[in-house]
Amino acid sequence: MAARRGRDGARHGVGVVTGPGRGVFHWLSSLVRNLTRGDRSDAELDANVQSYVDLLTDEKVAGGMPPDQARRAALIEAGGIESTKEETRRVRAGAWVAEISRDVRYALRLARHAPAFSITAVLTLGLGIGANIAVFSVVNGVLLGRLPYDAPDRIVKFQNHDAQNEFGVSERERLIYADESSIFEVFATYSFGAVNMTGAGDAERLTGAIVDAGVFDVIGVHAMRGRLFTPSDASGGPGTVAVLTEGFWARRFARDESLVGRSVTLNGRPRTVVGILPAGVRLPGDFTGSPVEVYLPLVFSGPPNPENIHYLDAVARIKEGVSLEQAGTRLRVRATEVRQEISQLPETYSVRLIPVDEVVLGDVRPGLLAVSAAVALLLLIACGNLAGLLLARSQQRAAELTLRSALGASRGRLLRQMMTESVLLAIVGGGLGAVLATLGTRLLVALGPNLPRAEEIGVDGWALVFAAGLAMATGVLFGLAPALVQARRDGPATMAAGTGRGSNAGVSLGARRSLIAGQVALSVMLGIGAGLLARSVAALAAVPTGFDPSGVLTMRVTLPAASYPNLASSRRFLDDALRKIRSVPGVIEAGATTHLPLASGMGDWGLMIDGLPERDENGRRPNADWSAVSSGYFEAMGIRVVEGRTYGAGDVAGAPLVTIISERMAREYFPGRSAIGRRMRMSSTIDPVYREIIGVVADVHHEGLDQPPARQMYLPLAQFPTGQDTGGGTRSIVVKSQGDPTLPTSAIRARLRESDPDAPVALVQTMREIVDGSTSVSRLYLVMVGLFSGLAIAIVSVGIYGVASYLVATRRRELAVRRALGATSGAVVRLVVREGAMPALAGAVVGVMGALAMSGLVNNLLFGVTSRDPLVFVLVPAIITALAVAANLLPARGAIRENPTMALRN
Amino acid sequence: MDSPTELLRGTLDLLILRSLSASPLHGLGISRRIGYLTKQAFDVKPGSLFPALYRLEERGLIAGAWGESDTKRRVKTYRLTAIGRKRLKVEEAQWRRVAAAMAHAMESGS
Repeated sequence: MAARRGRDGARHGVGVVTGPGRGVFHWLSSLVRNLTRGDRSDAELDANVQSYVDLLTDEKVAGGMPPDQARRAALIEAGGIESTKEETRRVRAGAWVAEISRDVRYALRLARHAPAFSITAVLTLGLGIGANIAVFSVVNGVLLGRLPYDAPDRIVKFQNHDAQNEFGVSERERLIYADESSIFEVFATYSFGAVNMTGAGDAERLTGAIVDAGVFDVIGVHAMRGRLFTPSDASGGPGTVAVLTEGFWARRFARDESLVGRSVTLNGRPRTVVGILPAGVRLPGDFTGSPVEVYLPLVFSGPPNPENIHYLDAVARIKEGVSLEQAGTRLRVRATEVRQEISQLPETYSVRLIPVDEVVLGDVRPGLLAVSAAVALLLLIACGNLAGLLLARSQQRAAELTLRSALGASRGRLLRQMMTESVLLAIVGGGLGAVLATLGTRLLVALGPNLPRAEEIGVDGWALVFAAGLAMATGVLFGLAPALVQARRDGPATMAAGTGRGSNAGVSLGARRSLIAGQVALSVMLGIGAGLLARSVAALAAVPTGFDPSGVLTMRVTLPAASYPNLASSRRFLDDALRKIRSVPGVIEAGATTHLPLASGMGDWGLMIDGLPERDENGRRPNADWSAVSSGYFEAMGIRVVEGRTYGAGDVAGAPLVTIISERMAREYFPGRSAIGRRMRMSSTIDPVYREIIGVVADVHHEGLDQPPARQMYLPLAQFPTGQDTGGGTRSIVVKSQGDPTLPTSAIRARLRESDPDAPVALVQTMREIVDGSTSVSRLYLVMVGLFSGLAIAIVSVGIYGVASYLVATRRRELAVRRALGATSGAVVRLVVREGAMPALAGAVVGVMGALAMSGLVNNLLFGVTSRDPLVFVLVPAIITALAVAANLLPARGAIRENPTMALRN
Repeated sequence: MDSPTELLRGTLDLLILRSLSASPLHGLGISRRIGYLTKQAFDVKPGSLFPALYRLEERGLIAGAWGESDTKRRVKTYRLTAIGRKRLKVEEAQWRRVAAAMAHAMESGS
């Protein structure tokens, strides 16, 4: 109406509108009318054409023809009514929009009338697409997203190594390699460590990085406020400085603009904040765990440490025009010279350059790729199911479509109509998928807290574009196939065949059986992948940790160097705190360590052992991972004593110097003899004294349950170190309680506050949580692949059930005849199940072969199980085949419940 | 286009406008009237008629209204609009020129 009034207004108001102008206006108003009142204008056209036929009939009746005959003659004379309407609609303004919207309305009407089909199809697609977007988001965020560096392809991690191990860079080596200006544009070192902040509010333990000024040039970032470090900052002295991250600036200082230039107390020393680093800047090695919040300049006073301790990480930016290979070659040559200069370096010393994206992503890439493959399989299965559904549906609608084509609907028209239906399904399924993906992505990030750049994972624009593309491709591809099958049909023949009982039904049934076989094959592959991962996680869980996590609570206490300037003060605090904690009701034992198993790597130190050569035939010193522990530690952790004793109250400073070693170390360095009473010392000046071995304890997994335990030694905190008297540091306290280890948490915290109200306590968690956390990545893969294969199996079961129901429905008469002729119910059930289960069985066989072929993909995700584990390869196909049989059983039983005479009469 | 004689492109529109110049007509009426006007040379079938009717209506050259036929059937009756009448005049003049030119071309010796 509005359009009409507008037109009248134009006539009265302007009055001089010329013919063509009016025409345009008419066309526009018709367009609006057609689009807004599509249904009504359709009905109007129907009535108009109908009245034409009626009038023609009247004419013939008036001419003396009998009404029946007149009507038939009128219809023949009028020609194809459907095509007339079709042609007329096409000339209308906005015809294509109207046509699509009519198709959509028709499709929606159909969807409403077949809710089971619509819901199954939308759910199938939604799950398939949702899982794919979720995984795509994770992969996109973690693998495809750009590293937050400038020209990252020229950034490398500089890695020292020998035949067996990788190790860091020493101060001397730092100076040597920083001079290699023919290879590197910039070479810089850094080291991560804890930084305590005091003074402003609560004492807080921060993750910090101590860096060369050049580090920021290597990764190519600039300060967002103030400046970054300059070489002059490295001179130390009173003008010490710090750079904070944007995240920390916001969290702790609420983005106070006046912070730059002010002083904060870090590690007990006032430092001037000179700049703020923008969020998202991270050094290699800082992509997992809690991010660095404070940067301090690496300060070297005096000559390089003569011990040549390898405690620095190094990164470099390769000079422009030098390839990674060239740089590597030149560096290896240089490394042989460096080996001559620095005698402590092992015989097989060399250097390699690792592209920075390898460093950041190397560990997770295989897992994410395997998960991507799994989710792609799931989508294929979902598509197969959808194609099966659409095929069955076009079968059911054969008569309707044939009728429409006989009434003059063109083949293209019908094709378009069917495409509209499947695209519509795809859009709704895709929408559902996007919703599921948003939830699923959150779930994934929650399950996998150790993914690099986890904070960048989210369903973003790209993921949605990916989803839309996926939905459209699925809709078009899997709508087109059945539509083409349908369109190729010989119309009258199909019509004569009634509701699809003709020979064409057989063709389509064959197609559906192949689809089932394909889906079963894919889900067997997925299921085998999930089975292998499940066996891995079980194997990891079964690894003896070397300690007993039950009832153990851990927490990290940081002793500020300012309050604890020497060893005596630190030891006093720890002794006092542990004594008070032991008095808490329910607590059985308490101890402390510098390195908690599975939570922090131990240091590796060269050793001198009485009776052993200083170096072995490879030029390597005896060495072991070390940690320092208090008395009560082994008891609280339940670490088994193999030989000798653990630390007691007598092992204090001034008493005979002692140490405890691990079973593996005892076995390798003292084979066939007792280690007790032997003497050994560190090659470092930190603890340059011989100690007597008083105990051998069980091997403990420190690095991860999938890594074999290293040689380990435990020095007594009460006696170590002897070479320097520096206080401060970080201690993990372990408390063994009866029952729930978290119950005494607040009492323990209270005792610690009594000992020192300023000592920051962090990372309160049970040992069980730490153990579980160490396998979280494996479990994440298991959860994801397990979920996908569960979904796949559910989808396939529905598909098999659908085909079986369809089969039974189309063979009702035949089955009834068989029963009427004396076939038992059992025989009929067997017949139906056998025919339904055959494609599933074939699919299972193909799936097993496919899984064997693809076993390499999961190989490096597995632990304690081979990628061709016979148990999994037998059990999974068996379960899926059994499900397939069960899905056939239901419709088969339906068939025998029906009265044969009824079936025959209908 | 309907036989017996192929309608020239655009001719059908002109014929419809012409058939409505005397009085409003419904679809079948237009068909019959064109037959009469062309001495049965053109038999316009619904397949061509309806698309043309809707096209002309959307251009505002004709206007349709629902009413009752002599036989008490609900029918849509079309009439020429002012624009349509103007267009008919223009087209008629143009047609005459073309027809005269064509006739001349056909008659003159080659």
